Amino acid sequence: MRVTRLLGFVLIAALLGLWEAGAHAGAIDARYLPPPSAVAAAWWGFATGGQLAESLATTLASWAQGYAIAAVLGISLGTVMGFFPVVRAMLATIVELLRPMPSVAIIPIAIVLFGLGDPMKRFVVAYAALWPVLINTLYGVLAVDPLLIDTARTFRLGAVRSALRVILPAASPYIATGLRISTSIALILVITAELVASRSGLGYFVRAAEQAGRVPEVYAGVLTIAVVGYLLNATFVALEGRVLAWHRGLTAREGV
Amino acid sequence: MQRAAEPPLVAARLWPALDWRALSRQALGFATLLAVLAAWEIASRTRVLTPQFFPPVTEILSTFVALWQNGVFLPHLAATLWRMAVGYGLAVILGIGLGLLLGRWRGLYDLFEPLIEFARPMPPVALIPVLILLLGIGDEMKIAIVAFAAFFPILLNTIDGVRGVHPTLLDVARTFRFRAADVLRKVILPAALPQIMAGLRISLAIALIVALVSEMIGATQGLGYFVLQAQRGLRIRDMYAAIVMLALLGYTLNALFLLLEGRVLAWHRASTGQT
Amino acid sequence: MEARAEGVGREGSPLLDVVHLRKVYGQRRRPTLAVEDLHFSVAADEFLAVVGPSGCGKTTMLRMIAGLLPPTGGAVYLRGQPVTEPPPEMVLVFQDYGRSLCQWRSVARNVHFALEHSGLPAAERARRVDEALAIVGLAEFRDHYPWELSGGMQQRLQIARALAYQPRILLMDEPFGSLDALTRAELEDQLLDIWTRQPKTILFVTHDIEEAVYLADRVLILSARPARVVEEVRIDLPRPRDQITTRSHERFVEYRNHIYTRIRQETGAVARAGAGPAVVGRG
Repeated sequence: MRVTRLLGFVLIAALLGLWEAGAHAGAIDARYLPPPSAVAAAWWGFATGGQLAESLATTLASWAQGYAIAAVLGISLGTVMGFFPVVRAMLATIVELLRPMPSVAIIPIAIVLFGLGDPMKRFVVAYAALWPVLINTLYGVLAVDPLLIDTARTFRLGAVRSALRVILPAASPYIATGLRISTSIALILVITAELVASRSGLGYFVRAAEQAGRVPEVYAGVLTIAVVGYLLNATFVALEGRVLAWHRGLTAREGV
Repeated sequence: MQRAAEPPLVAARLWPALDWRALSRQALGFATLLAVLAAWEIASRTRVLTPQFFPPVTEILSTFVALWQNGVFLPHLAATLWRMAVGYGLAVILGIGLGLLLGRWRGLYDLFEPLIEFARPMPPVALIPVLILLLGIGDEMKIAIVAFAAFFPILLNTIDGVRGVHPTLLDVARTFRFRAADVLRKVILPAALPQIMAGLRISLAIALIVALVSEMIGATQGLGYFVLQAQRGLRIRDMYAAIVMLALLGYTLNALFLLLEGRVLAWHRASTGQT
Repeated sequence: MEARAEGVGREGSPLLDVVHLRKVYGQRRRPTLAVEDLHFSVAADEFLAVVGPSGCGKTTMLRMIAGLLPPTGGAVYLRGQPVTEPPPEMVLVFQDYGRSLCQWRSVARNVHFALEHSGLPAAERARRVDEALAIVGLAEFRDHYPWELSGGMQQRLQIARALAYQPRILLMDEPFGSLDALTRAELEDQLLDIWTRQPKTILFVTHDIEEAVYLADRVLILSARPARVVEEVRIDLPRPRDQITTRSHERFVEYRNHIYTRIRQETGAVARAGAGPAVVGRG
């Protein structure tokens, strides 16, 4: 099995090799699909010229800020809704109607309200990332074994203490799932916002390059975004693994 | 665990057959929604909220109706749905097909794993500029990006579903002399179907999002194009009406899918106690 | 093939020969000997029960006989032909009925599953399905789904499926192990009834000694892991068997005590020798 995984990497290398050869041989139109070497060169220029750092910082900042807002709001609201059936009932219809709406639909409203700058991006990211966290937190709280809640009651923990010490840890696998999904959603939305209506960030860089015909830079930018996506996800999974080690052992792995 | 409020006893005695708790919960939800809308309406009309940014709810709704009646929405809706349908269809065929193979044969999966693990976390929208370079801004580009984005959840869920088929069932099929193709079709596919459907549902939502984004970036038709153009042209009521349309579209697609899932997986729902 | 003695003198010449069967797991890392040496024959239409301590390798043995697992040493011969893949005349009934039934198919369709690659015409397939369901008493549930049935009924469904296939040899892996005592007794009698009316060879693995004595013509006692045949006991009790009279028969008690003592010796011997490799999982 190890061998085939290595072969997998060999496969990627082979594909890159074919791409390179094809571009040089003229089989692939290098104007639209430049060889990996040209992309690498463009990326290097992008990196050393300072643009990489700048764009990356902007994108990550918006991503992080929006994500943080969504996480705090989502977990709090989800917990409150989970705890109080009345609140849950009150918000149920609104949630059910807003939830299936494609989150990108919020972009035009965000532009109207905030213009084209970073606040707009933050808002879009926060809105989109809110839903997975909220829904998963809610399910997590609802799924907490009633026995656990009763035990907390027996020990006369107050509502807040119960929440922090008993309920949230018990619901944490669900919350973690929601946070993980939101990691990717937040990235998708920040890139989208930058592609569609922004003057800064990785998405903007790629879009501008595409419109100006600087083709290798387009690929360099997309590659950077891909790596960012990969690293964010990998970091999150690693963190999740550490924090939730107890859960892995306790329950069988449910493919999420 | 649902500590809902006790239903009014009188009504419960009059109509014991109705589920009063559920009804009162629903009513509360609707009431809250109406209250929010009413608040918006009033705030807009009394200029507490700037009407330029937050038109009254009634005006949004009348614009919505007008856009339908004047046939403005229809071509845009049709364009978006078409791109989604073709892209999603491609993703389904490729995703399930490849997923069945990779799920069944570990060696094959290991070969493709590095490729998949790298492509998966990439935000599909980032590929749109690349696809514009390669395919222009026509339908092909949009279909391609929808297919790419929808492919991965279907693929991964299919692989998981196939892996989850209990080996005993496969032994049974061998005992009854099923050939490999029959095992795939008659045992693995049905057994993995619940998981596959989960992937299909996730992908449907993604397909819609990606289709809209592709339209916002480069298109001459489609709901994504329409809503952004409305914003740019400061036709705010049109913009809100389009957003309502999108919410409705998302809701309908989801509801239809759940209906389909309910039919196809009736056996699974019942056997696992309404999962 | 020294084990293939001709006309071994029982109910006919041996149908199935298990010749020095051996299975080693995990050959690369830590090899675990699951089955050391199984050597016995089964005659046509014989009811052979196999008992042994928990974890001794009974399921592994059955899977090798069924052609689902390749042996590391030795072989299984069916009518003189080596078994390398599931032979057409053999069916294995599993203990875990839930996992071996198609939850998405109705009861009737589950039975039909057995016949879908038999090459039989549709009319014949339908007839066999009806017949099998009638034999196990599930005819009125034909349109129900497995999860709507009780454990005992699901196991009967699995048996019906096996019967529809009309195998010459039925391998059964602790089929009644997950059921309550009353259901078990009922199914034991039903199985005997089926066996009497439609004679076939049955190889029945169980951990329940009394069940083995009650049902079988012959009982094979296996050692603790790794499995060997320790002893073979001919059961000379009148047929048809009956839950009350047979089980109170004095020879029944003798057989039962003898087998129990033997197995206890085997597990005791292992304990005294200082337990061998960790007993893992199967049968």
